[in-house]
Amino acid sequence: MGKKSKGCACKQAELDCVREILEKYEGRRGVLVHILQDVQKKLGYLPEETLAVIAEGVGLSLAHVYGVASFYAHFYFTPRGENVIKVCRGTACHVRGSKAILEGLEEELEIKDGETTDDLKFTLETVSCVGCCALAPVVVVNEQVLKERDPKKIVTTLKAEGKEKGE
Amino acid sequence: MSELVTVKIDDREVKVPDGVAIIEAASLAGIDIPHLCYCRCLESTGACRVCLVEVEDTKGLVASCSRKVKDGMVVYTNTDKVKEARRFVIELILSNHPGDCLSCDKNGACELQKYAYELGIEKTGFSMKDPGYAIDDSNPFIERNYNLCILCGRCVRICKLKGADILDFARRGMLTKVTTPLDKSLQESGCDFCGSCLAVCPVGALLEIDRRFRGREWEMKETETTCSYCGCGCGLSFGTVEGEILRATTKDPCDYLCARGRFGWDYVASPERLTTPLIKKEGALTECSWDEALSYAAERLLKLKKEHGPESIGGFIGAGSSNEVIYLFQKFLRACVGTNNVDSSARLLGFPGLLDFCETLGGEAIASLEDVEEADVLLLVDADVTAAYPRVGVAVKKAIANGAKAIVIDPMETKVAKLVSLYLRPKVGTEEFLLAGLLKALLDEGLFDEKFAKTKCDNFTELKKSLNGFKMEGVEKKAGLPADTLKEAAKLYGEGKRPVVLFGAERVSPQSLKLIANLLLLTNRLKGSVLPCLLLSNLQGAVYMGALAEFYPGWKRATEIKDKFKKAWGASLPDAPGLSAMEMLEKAGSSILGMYIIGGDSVAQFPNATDATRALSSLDFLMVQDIFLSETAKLADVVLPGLTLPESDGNIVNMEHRVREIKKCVESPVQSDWKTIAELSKKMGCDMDYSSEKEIAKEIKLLFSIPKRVGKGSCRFMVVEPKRTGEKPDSKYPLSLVTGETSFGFYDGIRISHSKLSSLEPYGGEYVGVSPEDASAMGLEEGSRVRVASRRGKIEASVRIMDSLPRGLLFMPSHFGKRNLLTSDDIDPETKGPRCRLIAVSISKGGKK
Repeated sequence: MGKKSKGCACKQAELDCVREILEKYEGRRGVLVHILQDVQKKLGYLPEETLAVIAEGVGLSLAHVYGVASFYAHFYFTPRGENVIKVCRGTACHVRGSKAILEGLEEELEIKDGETTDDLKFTLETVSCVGCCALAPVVVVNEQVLKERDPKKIVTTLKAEGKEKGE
Repeated sequence: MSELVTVKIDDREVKVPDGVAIIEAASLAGIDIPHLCYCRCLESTGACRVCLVEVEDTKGLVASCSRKVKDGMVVYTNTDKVKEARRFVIELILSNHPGDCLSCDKNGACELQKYAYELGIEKTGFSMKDPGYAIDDSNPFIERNYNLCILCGRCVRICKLKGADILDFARRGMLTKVTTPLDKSLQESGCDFCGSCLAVCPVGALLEIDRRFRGREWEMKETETTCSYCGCGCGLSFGTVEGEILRATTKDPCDYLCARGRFGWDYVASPERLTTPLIKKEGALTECSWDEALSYAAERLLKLKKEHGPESIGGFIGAGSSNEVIYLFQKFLRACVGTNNVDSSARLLGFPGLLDFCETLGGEAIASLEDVEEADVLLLVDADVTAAYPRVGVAVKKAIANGAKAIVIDPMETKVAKLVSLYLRPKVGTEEFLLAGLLKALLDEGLFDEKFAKTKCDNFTELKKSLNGFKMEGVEKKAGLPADTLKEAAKLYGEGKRPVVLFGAERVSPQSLKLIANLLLLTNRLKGSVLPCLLLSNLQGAVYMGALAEFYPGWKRATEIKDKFKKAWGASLPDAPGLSAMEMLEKAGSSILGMYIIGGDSVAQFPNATDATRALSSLDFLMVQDIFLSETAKLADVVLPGLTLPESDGNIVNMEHRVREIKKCVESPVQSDWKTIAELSKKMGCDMDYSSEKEIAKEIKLLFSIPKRVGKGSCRFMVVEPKRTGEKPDSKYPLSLVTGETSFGFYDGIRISHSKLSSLEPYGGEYVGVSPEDASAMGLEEGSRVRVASRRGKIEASVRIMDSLPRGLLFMPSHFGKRNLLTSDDIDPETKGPRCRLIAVSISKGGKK
């Protein structure tokens, strides 16, 4: 089932999941970031409704919780794709043509850097360095460094894999 | 008081309390250290680095807002090194601040501009960067232009302290921005529009939308006066240009105003204001001259007086008028017309029950807002302080933040109830059982002043006897609260060192008042220990001025003081006791034939509006003086334009019994209310020679004084048998309905309905609050239309699902004009005011969108 078809029942499930996480940390201080991490791990992102529940649970204002969550680049407030494609835009990768890869992926997926496709299959992001400049230009998909650099092929392969999994 | 230490600042030696920040010490020495993020009433963050100073024997510069003084410290605030650092910081801030000073409303009042000028910065040495944020003016009052924001964080901190706590820094680095959760609009974020953020913003990032391009600070005339909405009587300052109010603020940015006080003044300039007198001719209200209207009114009133006696005439005045107007109004009725039939909205909002309460305890018992802030235990009974009297709400929040324990008794889970140590939620209408249970628990646990109760108070034995038979199990059965919880509350309250009881005077029953008085007597807490919260600005003043039928000015019963006023006024005064407002309406058309009503919309104020309208329509002669053509005015034979308080001079008395001055900030084409009364009196053959409000005030002063503290109390326990209050629900009307205040509405609604404030109310205020349980049981959704019916009538409303309500209780805002079609005009025999604050209703689906 795709994430898009999430109805009211799923919202409830999300909140229950958050409450479960909150219970784990009950009575402890300085745990906000841990809670946010756990929630994101479970749900893939931080849905709006969960923030309010978290705020109440830790006894902080919603504004404060949002302030903390938005400080970190790795907390997301919108759903993320099943496949997260990260294109490195560090110096080494840039010199070796990562810009073209990024543009190619943007064209192929019809989304811009930082966006997610409507079917929630792909999220495209840029990173500043992955730490393996020798392999430049680097594209990371779902935490795995790819050998493939052709945007078209990257997308086709991922789509095919997705279909296989679906079947 | 902490110890004093000696510090030397810029070669000036000063003694300051130990532990203050250098910036505060400097301020005590008369030295102003430049600062941007620091604000006296807020926690220091040391963020802006503008307040850097040099401290001898300390490496580097230190932020004077965060560094505490030490004995013998030597500080330099204006050395070259300091100035250079400061210039660098200001230049950095300017690099991210568009220099649009030419058309900025804060020009001349901007703190950043001031320091840039003082440091001689012509242009920042850094490249300028325009953040390019869209300006947010999606709400009616506050323009947020974050391009101008310097990230000082004052708004964030004051919102936490006094507002709804909806602001914080989000993101980081160059993208840092002050915002609401998920960057939503202020309305969606639950902003309560107190505008405290506006007052502290050092630059033009936060501005009153209404003042944009209409006047800069130096072009405004400032008039310091008093807010005329609720009974708090907060000080405010109107900024006016060419006779128009551009903004309301406080002289000290750390002082508080609520949404009404800060933004609720656009009604003054409403084009719908009445400016010309009207006379009913052939059934239609027609414009006429002042002289014609007053002559006609005088003739009609004299005729009634001659043919049916002075007792056939009555007067009613809203408690939104000044002392001077109210005093003159009752003098007119008593001395010129010759009747004691003069009453005010005080009757509908807790008086005269509250008078007996004060007389029992003595005037010293009344707490001030400072007492509330410094209390260690607070007991709130039926008081939605944040909505009805927001300044009290801020005091309560401050006390809680300082560690006070608070107990809330209220069937509605108010905002404050969520913050307190102990929330007691009685079943609807059972507060009296709960209060009696508290008394009993105090007695049982020995948490009272036995010596005082026995020797200084009357009736202690009777009280004890009555409570002996009182069973705590009964409280559990009736109010739904276990004995242990009551004991916990009694212990909390009983062991408090400086406890203060607060209650909503318009909501507690007369019996509850007596129970609260017993509670205070029993624990011998008669100094600054109770604050009856009053809904209207001058309720207390109306009572002092004699606008209750049984009382003459000075809070004296008519029977005991009449002779004094006979002499002073040089008139023969009536012997017959006056009728209360409720009684006048009851007798309208039979023994009451003429009425003179000033202020407020009486039809909207009186319970059972259908009957009230019928009663007012059946009068021979009705004269109404008001600022708008209200529902009451539409029924009148003569309508006279009235004046708003921002257009008047005078005084009011707030809920702390403090006299507050009202000053005229804008001229009005309408003549003063007191002048109208005096002219009418003259036309009726009783000269009233006053040249100004000041002269009336002088006369009042000669006759009696308004003490902040009323005399000594009678200290008499009152035996009360607790009862369920309100109309009992039955099978036809199974639910209870309570009316109350909301943050953006106000009581009679006449001012708010002509203000942009009303646009912030959900469904324009025309809603009925339903608990989630009731809503799901009845299949109601947010926004669905329903008919609400009581034994008096029925109205349509939108459903608003409110988590704060318990099952079985509905809520309507008191400014929802039609709600009084439902309410009951049953008269309480003792107070002669309305008996039922809770009414039985039914709710059914249907009605037009």
